[in-house]
Amino acid sequence: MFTDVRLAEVWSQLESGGAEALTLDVFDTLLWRMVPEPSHAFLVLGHSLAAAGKLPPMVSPAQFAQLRIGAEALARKRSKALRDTYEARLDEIWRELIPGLPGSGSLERLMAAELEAEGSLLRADLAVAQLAEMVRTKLDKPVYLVSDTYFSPDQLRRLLRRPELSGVSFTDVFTSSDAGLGKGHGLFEQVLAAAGLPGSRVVHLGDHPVADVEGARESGIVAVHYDKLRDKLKETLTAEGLLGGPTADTPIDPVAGDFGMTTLRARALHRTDAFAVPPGLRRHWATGATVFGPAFAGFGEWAAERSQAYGVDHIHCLMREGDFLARVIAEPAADRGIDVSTLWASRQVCALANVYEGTPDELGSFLVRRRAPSVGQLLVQLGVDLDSVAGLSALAERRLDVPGLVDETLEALCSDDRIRGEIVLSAGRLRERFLRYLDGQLPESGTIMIVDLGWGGTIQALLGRLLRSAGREVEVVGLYLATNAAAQAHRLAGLQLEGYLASGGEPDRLFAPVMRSPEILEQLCMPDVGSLAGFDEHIQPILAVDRTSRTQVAQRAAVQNGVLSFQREYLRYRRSEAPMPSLGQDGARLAALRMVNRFVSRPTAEEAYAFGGWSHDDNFGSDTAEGLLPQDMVRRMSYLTPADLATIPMRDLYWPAGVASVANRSLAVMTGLVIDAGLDPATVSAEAAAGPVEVYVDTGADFVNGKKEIATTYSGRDGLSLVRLRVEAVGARRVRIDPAGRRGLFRLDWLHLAFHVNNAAEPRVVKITSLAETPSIQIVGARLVQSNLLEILSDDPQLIFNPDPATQAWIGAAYALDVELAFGWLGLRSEPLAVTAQAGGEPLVKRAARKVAREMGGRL
Amino acid sequence: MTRADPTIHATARSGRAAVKPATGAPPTGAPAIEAQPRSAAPAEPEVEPAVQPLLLHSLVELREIWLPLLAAADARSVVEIGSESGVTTSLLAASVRQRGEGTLVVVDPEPGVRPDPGDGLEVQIVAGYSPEALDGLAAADAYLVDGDHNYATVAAELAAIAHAADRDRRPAFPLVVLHDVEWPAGRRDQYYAPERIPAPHRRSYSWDEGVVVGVAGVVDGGFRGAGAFAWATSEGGPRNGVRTAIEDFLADRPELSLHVVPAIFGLGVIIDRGAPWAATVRELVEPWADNAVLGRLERNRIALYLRVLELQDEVTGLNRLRQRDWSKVDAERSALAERELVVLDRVAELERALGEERRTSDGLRADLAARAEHPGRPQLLRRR
Repeated sequence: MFTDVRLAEVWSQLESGGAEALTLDVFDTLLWRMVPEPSHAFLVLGHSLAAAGKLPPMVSPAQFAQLRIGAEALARKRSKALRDTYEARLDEIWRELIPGLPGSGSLERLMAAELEAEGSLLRADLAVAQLAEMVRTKLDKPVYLVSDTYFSPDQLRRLLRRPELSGVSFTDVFTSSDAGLGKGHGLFEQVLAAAGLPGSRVVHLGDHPVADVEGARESGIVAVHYDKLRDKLKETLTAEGLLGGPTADTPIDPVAGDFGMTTLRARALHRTDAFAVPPGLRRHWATGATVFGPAFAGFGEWAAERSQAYGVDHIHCLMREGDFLARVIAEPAADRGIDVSTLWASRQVCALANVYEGTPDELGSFLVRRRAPSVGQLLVQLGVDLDSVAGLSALAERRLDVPGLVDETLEALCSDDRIRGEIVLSAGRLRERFLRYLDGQLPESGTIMIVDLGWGGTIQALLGRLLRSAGREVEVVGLYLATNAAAQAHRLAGLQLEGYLASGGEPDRLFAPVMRSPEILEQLCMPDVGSLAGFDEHIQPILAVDRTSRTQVAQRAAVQNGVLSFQREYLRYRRSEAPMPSLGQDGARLAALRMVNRFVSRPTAEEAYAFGGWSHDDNFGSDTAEGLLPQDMVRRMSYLTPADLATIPMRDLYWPAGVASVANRSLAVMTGLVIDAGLDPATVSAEAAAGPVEVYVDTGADFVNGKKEIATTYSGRDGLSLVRLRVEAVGARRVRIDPAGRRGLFRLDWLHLAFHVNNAAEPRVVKITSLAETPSIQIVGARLVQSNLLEILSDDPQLIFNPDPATQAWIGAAYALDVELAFGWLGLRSEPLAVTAQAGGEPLVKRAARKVAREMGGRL
Repeated sequence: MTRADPTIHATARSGRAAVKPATGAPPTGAPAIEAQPRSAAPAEPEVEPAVQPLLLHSLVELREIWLPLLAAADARSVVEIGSESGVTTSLLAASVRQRGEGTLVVVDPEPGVRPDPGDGLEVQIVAGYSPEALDGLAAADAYLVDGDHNYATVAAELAAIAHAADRDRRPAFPLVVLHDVEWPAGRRDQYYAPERIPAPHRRSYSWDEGVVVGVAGVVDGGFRGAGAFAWATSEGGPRNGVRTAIEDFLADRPELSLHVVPAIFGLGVIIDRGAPWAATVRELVEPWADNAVLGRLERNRIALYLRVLELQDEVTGLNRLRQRDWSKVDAERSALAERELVVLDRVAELERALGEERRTSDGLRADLAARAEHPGRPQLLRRR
């Protein structure tokens, strides 16, 4: 009956006859405010006074909020001196405040303004209201309100005169301001006297651990703690900047506060379904409810509102994400008389269906993805049977990520009539089936509203083009959780597409980090099926095999259930007699983006671990799948600075902030904040004293005439540095790395040389962790002290890689080289280091002996 | 899809509160009802919008009737009790200015506007509550009374007006124009601030219940204040309502006559038969006063408005039912989700266990193969 475990407990006390009366705390129990902290209500009041011209010039809403807090403290102090109680009334507070607000109006008018602002921010807790109503009507037992407040009973009654509470008649109201004493000092005794019951026969529900729980228990009352914020949520809210005193920076809406999100996020964690989640999935469920819940609930609301504005009565949610999105949108859409269904479409199918002639341009649209495919992968997508075309297998492994190579390869494929013929044939067949499928799903003309998770809007563009070129008189409009900057080009081309969290990549600062690591948003929306590959002759979708682990499936379901649970809680309020403000408003969209941004760019270690095991689309089907927290990347984190972390490309690491949160939390937080602030991460990254690292490639005319790249080296934790750079390596014979520019001690942790070789999907990687007995590495200008420790003797030390012609002949086919150098550095003065032949040997023995002696307690 | 009727849509937007905005007392959150045009098409500029606000309630709407009376009485000093939004104040200021010179006194705790004096106009603002705030004010030629609409307040206001006229030896009783002399406040006290009315003069009242035509008590629903004002719990009887206060005041003053215009909650005009302007003013007001057509339109208007409120309350009731249903759906869906997660978690656990078993068996197989190849070597440890 009650979705909140605490209310279920109170109800069972009363229903079983264990208690004969219910007492309820008012604020943050029966009524809650649409602001993260109670004092934030003064900020909203300040804005409304300012809008009405009731604040003196130079007093900002935030300053007003601080004055209001100060006045309350003064009033309480005065009350203590006069009446020996800290309880003060609203008029006493305003009497202290009015001298600070000359010309703002009469005491009565200003108090009325505060009551009005309170009234507009307050919402009755619908579950508590239902509890009170049922206690009164079904059990016929009294319900008393007990409040420590500066409002008088009349003022409180006025605040309680709300449509959501019109079905409840409270037996009586007791306030500290009226009684002159609070809950901990005798107010509960007054209630018990009025009820004529001993404390043991009364159950109290309230949020304050001292006043409501201890105070009630001191009077013998059974107290149930209706606490608001759990510690982890508090941590999240703090990271979002929502907690703390009201200031001009407090990120709330001047009218709608936090749109009720803080309380609803907190309430969601107390739901019975939250407690029933298996322990291993709790973090996922909680993240779904408290981080993604507001964003998706808001998206659902907004999508339904926008669809209504477009005048459509049907929304098509694009599969695969559409499966979950349709569940999110269904309720708000139904509220507006709009139907929702899913529609199979994928970038691959839409792109292939748009291939008419097999030109390089048409094929180029298949390459717009995060990780370039190999020729073989591309041809499979294009429906070409590799074995049927002679001579193709030699090219199959070639990866299409080198600019010149791409054009050349596409040109070669398209100029081959057999290949082109196969492509056009398979595209035509798919197009015919896809159109038959679409005709069965879509209206013949008018506006087609599609909803998808988002980013560039390519599928919408391709779908619209396909339908129009097939003579369908339709306009495809797209609503997305977010669209990125790439969507702007479509908009300029006349496409109608809108994003909820971000539209066209704006607001950039908050959205760019989300766009850098969109995998979690993408994966959390996935159903348990593979991507659409085509349609069979019965026009049924052909799906790729879904290789998601069952663990990820369960975790994803937990996130989705958390989101939907939050949404159900929200919808209860949205549909109540005093509806919540719409989450489709700009202020709510920004608030939701902040939540998602915080999660993606500054996750807690626990969140990063929970989601770090998730695989992403690119590594499905790969045996080497490491998920979002690859171990080798975790190891790299202590070498990095914000400048390094911000420049790791997506193909190497999907969720830099997640990995950093686990391995180097301060790095994660600093990088996130720097990007949020719009600063260049290099400004907070110390350049390493070793100087820049230079890489030279000898292509037969010595290093000076070959390709060269220089990378600025930053100094991470403990003076550790990691340098990554790519250099063109066509015709490479030797590689030279200049690791430092001055004298010092250089500890090589690893040197990886990844050669990208023609016609190979994966690069050839040479890994060097020791310089001793490594014939392929020649050391110049430095002396080897230990296997990985060099004393750099000059300002031009060099590590020269000479490939072994017998085993590394493939270097001749290389076209690019990725270098990664991880090292520690310690500067030295000019005298050479004196290292004895026995260095490290003898002292170690002595140290070991000392340790043994210590452990024996000096008994040797 | 179905769309809501525009009228209901308009009222539902403002929530339950369907009230007349406070006059002469602080507005306490009672939203005025404003119809939202469904399309953005601009209205014809010369046609005054007829449904804004949905419920005509202000003295301003009756201006074509009472403004000419002030001119006819050549009122050079006017006291306005209750200034509402200030529109009436501006109209009065212009009216007095037309006389050449004069005084406008505005009595209101928070006057809506403060007209600039000058051009022959003197302005006095008395920021306080009537009737106390009338003490000591000089008698005026005319009064516009639209403060708190209850017997005690109006009776005291009329007494104060009479007292000032006597004290200042006025040759005639001033022209007094009063609002809300018909249903609902004509025979029933309305209180914006009941605590300001001395207890013996205050009737029992309700903030929550409303009133409907033909029911002397109060009802759930109906026309109500939603926190902005309270109603006396019964209608009629002695010392109840604005009209009763006027009639009691006139009872022993045969020289005074009351003329009631039955529109927009009723406009009352008190005329001193002996005043030099009495005939002119009576001539102006007579066509409107007790006009049967106006009365019919007003009754119809109120009936329609009460019907709107009823429909609005029905929507609220349906919302509440729907909300209760939703909490049941919520509980059911939550239970399903709980079961789903338990099953998925178990499947995931089994898949992990299966993976573990596979690795173990692979390890054992490798060990066996190694032993077969090198029978003499000790058994390798199981690799995990």
